[in-house]
Amino acid sequence: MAGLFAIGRILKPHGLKGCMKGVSYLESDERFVRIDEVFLGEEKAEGHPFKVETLEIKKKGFLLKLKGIDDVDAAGRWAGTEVLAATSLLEKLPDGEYYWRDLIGLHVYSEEGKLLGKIEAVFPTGSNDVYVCAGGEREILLPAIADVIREVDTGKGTMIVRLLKGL
Amino acid sequence: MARSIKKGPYVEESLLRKVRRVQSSGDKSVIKTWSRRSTVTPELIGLTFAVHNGKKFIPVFITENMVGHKMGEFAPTRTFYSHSGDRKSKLRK
Repeated sequence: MAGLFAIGRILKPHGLKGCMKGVSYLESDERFVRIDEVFLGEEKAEGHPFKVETLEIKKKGFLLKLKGIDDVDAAGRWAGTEVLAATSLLEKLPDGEYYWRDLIGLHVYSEEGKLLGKIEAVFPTGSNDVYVCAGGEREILLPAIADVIREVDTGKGTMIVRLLKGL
Repeated sequence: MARSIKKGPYVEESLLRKVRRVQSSGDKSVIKTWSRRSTVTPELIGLTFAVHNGKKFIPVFITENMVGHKMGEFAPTRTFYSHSGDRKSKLRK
């Protein structure tokens, strides 16, 4: 379903009253506080909506109690599924900053218009992030610097890059 | 024990030669290096290095706050792709 993003994954039931233990995908847990509705399911498929009864942040994840899931068996059925939330929770980013989820899947073109591949993954290095562009002639690791990433159009799904000599 | 101050930071001689070549030519090409043990010095700021991680060359743009660290610290040797969640990526200028 469009407009949803994964915020975590259900690991197992917790207790007998339908509480579920999960692991968070979020950078900081502040965003959790604002969530009053979540969807359970896969990011690309349609999720089942649930109202949040309680959401407790723990050291290594969270404890989630949803309306309609009231016993351990019902909670156990959702083990392994992803917890999704509406993308409206994500704030708008300033120019030159992008969500990883928007970058992954972009088609990468050179300034001459040659298709180089698709962004498959992003990883941080401690300095700049690196975008893994694969699916073309060879895998290219693109540093997230303005000299290389010339244009990002998440609407069209394209990224235009200038390949520095030696990349 | 820490390295003697008298010796100064260690930078591979061949890396310095490549840096000087790029700086004199003025182009913005990526400098390929295997020397993960070389220290980042102020003269490297603004250059982009492709640091070997044992398999691939990881492109690393050198900024001021990296001075004093080793090149290898910025080229992870183990692949870990985490979930995107709400993670953000900022383009460095």
